[in-house]
Amino acid sequence: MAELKAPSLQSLLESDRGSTDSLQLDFEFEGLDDVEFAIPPTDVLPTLETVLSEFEADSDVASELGMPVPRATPTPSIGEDCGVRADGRGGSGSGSIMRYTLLHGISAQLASAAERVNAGAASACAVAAYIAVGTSHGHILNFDVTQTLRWAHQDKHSQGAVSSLAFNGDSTRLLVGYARGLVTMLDTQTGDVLRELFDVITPNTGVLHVKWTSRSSLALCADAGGSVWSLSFTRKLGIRGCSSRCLFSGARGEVCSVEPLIMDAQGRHELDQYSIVALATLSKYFIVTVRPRLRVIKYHALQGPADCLPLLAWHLVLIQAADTSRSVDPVIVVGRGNQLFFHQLFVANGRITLLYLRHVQLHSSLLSAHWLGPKCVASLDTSEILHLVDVRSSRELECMDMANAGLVYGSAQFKGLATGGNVSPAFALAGTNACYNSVVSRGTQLYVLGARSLHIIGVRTWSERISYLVKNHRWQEACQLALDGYIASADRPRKRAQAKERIIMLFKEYIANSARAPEYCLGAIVNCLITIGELDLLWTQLWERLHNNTELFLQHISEHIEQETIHSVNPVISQALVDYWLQHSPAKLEQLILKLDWMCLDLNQVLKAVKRHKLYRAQLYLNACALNDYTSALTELLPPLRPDQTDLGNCLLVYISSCLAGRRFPSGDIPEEQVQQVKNDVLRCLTSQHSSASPVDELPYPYLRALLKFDTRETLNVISLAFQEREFSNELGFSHRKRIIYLLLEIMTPENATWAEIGCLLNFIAQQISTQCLPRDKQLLERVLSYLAQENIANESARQHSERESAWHELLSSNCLADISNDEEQLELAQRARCYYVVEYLLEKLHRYDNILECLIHNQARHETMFAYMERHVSVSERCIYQQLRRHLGKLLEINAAETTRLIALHYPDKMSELLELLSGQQRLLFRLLQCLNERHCELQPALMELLLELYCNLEGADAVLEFLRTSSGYRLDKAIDIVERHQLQRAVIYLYEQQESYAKAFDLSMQLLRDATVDTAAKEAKEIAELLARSAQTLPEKQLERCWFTLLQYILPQQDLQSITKSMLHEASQHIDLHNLLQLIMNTHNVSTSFGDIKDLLMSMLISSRQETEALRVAADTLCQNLHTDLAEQRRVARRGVWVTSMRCLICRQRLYDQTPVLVLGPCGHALHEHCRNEATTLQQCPRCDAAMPVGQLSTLRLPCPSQHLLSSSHTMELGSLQLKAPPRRFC
Amino acid sequence: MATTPRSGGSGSGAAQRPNGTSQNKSCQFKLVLLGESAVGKSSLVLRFVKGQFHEYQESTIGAAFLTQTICIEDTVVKFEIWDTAGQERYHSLAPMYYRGAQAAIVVYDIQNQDSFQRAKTWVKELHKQASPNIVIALAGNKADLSNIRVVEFDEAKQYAEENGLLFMETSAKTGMNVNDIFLAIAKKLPKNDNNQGSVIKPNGNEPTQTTNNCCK
Repeated sequence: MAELKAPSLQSLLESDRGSTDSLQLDFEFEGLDDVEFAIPPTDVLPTLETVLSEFEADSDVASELGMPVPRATPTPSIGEDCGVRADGRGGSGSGSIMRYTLLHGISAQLASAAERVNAGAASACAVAAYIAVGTSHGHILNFDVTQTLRWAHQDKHSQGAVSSLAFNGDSTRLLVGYARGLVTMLDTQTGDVLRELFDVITPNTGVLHVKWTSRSSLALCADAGGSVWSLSFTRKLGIRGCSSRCLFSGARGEVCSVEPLIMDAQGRHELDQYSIVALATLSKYFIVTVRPRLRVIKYHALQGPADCLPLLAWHLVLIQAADTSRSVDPVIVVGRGNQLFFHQLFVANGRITLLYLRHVQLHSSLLSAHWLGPKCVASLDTSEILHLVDVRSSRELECMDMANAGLVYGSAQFKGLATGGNVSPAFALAGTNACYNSVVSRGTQLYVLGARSLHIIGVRTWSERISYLVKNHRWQEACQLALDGYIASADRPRKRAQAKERIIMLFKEYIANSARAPEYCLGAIVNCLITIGELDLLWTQLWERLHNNTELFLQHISEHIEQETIHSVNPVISQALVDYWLQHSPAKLEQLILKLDWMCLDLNQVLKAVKRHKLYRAQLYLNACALNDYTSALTELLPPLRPDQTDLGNCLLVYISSCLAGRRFPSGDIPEEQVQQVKNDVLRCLTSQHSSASPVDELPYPYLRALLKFDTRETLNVISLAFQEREFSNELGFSHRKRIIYLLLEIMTPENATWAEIGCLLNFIAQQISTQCLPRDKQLLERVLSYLAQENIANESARQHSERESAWHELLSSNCLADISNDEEQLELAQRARCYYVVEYLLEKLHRYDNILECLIHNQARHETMFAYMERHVSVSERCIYQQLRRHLGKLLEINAAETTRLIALHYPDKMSELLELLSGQQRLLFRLLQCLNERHCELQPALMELLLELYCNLEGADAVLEFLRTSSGYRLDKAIDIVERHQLQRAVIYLYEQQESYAKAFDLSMQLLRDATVDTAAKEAKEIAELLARSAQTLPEKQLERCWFTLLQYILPQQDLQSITKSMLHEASQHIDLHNLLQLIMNTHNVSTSFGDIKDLLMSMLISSRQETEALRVAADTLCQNLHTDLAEQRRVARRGVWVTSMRCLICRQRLYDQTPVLVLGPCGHALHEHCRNEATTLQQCPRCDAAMPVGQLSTLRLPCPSQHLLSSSHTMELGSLQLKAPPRRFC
Repeated sequence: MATTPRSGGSGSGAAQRPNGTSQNKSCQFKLVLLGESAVGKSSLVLRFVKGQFHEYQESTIGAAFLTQTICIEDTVVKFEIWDTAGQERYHSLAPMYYRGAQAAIVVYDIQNQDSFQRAKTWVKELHKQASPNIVIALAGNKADLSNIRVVEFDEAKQYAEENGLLFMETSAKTGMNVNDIFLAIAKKLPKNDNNQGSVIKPNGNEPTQTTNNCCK
């Protein structure tokens, strides 16, 4: 950090030396760079300005399309080794992408200018082929790329600070704007003033921006008044002139930012003929063509915080459309607040169009946004942290803290301090964060101007990032990055080759750098080499330098072998690998061997080791694959096989099975031409009569015998699988099968095998015969049958028995036994052997259905099907289902009562009584049946229900009885009470009493229980009684209820051990009985003093309820009075209202209304009728004449005056005018 | 049994590992030993690589792999030696190893006429099947027992000259001619740098291809 704050003495010295050097060498700085700093030529290593992302060939495509890619300045030669401050925050590249450089030379010059000539702090800068820096006192320092000061210029007109600087396209002219409004044009070579333009902008305002457009003689200038001016430079007869024109007046919105599109495409882009400028005010931004004529292409609203300025930046970007068409078009990034919007500008159908591309949201408000190459945008936020954003992924790649750069702000210009502050308040507020002229970009570099320093942030290319990481010995990251790049280049062969070369270079650097710690980051580098396929380097260079520290290397290699990224290693390595894993984990070695190509193994070493360490799989694999010897391992491993070596045995079985199926062990296929040979060899080996060694006491067929001994069942499975192969299906194959079967029979004699094993074999044979895989040999069949029909086999498991049955069944169903004996004999045999499945089959076959159920009952496995069978055949009379059901009812109920009951209830409801009769002796079965019936919600007669209740009482506990009583109905209460009382089930009795609504009895009985209850249960009992009483509150007369409560409380209150519930009891009681009495009761009991707390609530509630009642009374009285009053008022109002009668006659009787009888006026229509006429039309909802709605209130009757002749005559005499003066009668409203 | 390439070197004075800074050229060659069983192939290699001799050498299973590095003038030559098993049952393995080998030593036992005949068939097979510019050396082993020899030196020498083979009678027991025959092979092998690439490459790539071919 130190070197950032102030240029150190060292750096000053360096910069001095740098400048003298470059002075001598003048413009040959490129040569100097290459020689002195050993920078490789650009065609080998991408130069600084090709961005990381350009690695993905965008620049190439751009040039293919004829677009020159903008070139930045060459690498500054000094200050390269400045410390890089990699900020860890959020950057996934962790500081390897952005390169920070402090330009020592320029910074030193700025410092000395400030000190010696009072130039003031730097205020603006511009970068092109030169670097120009303006200062606050109007000085301009122009540097070349070697940071040598070429010239300095001082403003003589006291125009204040340099506010903006701009180089033209070929860097021959420098346009300078001052804070007091002067615009000057300088020659960049000499520093001569070419034009001084005093009156080109709004008078009395400062210059904010000067920009060159794509036309060489046209520049733009924005002033602090928010206006934009175009400056057209002319040179008539050698006299330089300039005409300025207002493009955009600040009166209609103040322009904050101006950004001309400069493409430098030399006519190869359609937009090149236009001179396009982006302008942004505080609320909008515009894309405008200035030439050929002024026209707005598009404008958009741009919202954001008031103190944030709009940001604009153009760049040519390769855009790949969804339809894979590619184009290079300018893309503008518009920033405001924390938002960045990307728009593409292109020509479609002759019109310039702006297309929205994407939107990126950052975490904090932005000060600046600049493109660094076509893929990245660098934006500085308000806390001066630089964020590098990848445009394609909208992801922040890296960030860097720039706080120490001492960034210069252009706030003074925006606030118009030099011209008296004549700017709008909004403009001044937004201008607090202005740094348009102190952060500038060129190519992939961002220049950040500090008060006395200039900083460069560059973007490293992929290759440079690797170099940088390597330089910092971050091998892990370097390798990862290198691999990422390599993988990303998958579909671009040329790039891929380059990436590979770069990785090899990285590897060489690694070799050169890590001699002392050869194991450092070995995994990453091994991974790299394996991914790019440079295995030779791995085996030779990397291996040879490891000396004796090979352990880690071998482990990494092993990992890769296990992941199957490599299949072959150098034999040298394989030897070391085998040695290493032999020592550490032979099991792991086996896995590795199975995954490795055998060609790279030292067979002599491996095979001997494998044999020594009993790595059977590897042994089988190597013998088979490498030595093409499929039998020797078998002959070696089989004879000593013991039944407890399950691993080896299973392994051998799998091996044999796969060999016989033409598969290679452990995976893959045996080559086509060898399959036949292998199958024959293996089979011959298995069935050979004697082993090669052939000891004297050896039993015949040692190999097959060993296998059978190990696991008969699985061996037979292997054989039966093998029988399905093509080789066994022809004529010869059948004889082979037969031979093998006889071999098996010969081996499996009762002396040498258990009955279970022989059973397996015979089952196997039976299956083979029945599936016609074996000829029906009578002798064989008899032998098989004799086994199958055995009556008693010692230790026969259920599985074995069922296998025996199914084998027999198979034989029968394939009709194999017809030659030996007929079905009747078979039936006999089967019954004796208790093979009920077979018996069932035979009975079915012989149509003797009357006993089938018995077989099913005996066969436990068939119980499920039994019920289905009964269900299916219930209607077939010859199946005798009912008879059998009747006969076996007890057993069936035992097996599955629910199913049986279902059958009976569904199909034989009429036989119910008969069946119940049948069970009368067997209480339990009867109970089950009834219970199931009840559960099925069958309507049982009350007698049956009571019988069931009786059975419940006999067989089940009190709880079950209670549960039954609760859940079912249909029993007669009195009978039920009798039964339950007989069994002295008090609780059930209480329940039934309650059902009967004999609460008093229930209560008495409960009290009995409570008195008998022990200390532990008393509380529960008491609660139950309280609940009972609560339930009875509806039905029990109040007096009785109160008496009950008192009985209960009188018992509870004195009990010391029931104190815990006293309170809740009192509470409960207080809801049902009179509080006074309750209180009295409490007072009368002895231990009142101890339980004041208990009755406190009681008293409180009494007081509260009393107060509430008083209050309620008062409120009720109030309301009553109020209602009365309002009613009166209403009545009065209605009574006082005049009534307008429009008709003279009653609507109903058509008689005159004015006849002293009560009259009803119907409503607003003014029609009326006699009250007595109303009775005739009782339902008067609306006026019968005109359907007008009636008023809501009661119709008022009134007596219309009988107009006396006198009155009539007097009214007649009245003048018409006086009548008109009266207000017209009101209508109902 | 298994040896790392660096553990030997005592028997062959010329053997020397290149150090990192050496500007010596370095070459790598694949060499295969062929011959009938019990003629002394493994002993020959053991003598060359480790300078040892076992009276009762176990018979090789399949093939064994050893490396040895020697210096000739300014060139470091690294031999990757595949010592194949001589027993008939492993015969089918041999092509995997001599395919892509730059050199082969066909060994016979001077006391055993059959082994010499077998050596001749090996040579024929090599001429037919192996790479055309393979360097073949014929070694009449067990020369220490020359008093009970059956195969005459001249007969073998003549055969070798007719077929363009290097020829030496060797003795793994005494070490006679063992290093010499390897040196002679090394000298005869092309060592220019241009060749090196093509020399190393097949070693890395071809065996895998051949494996694929033979096993599919």
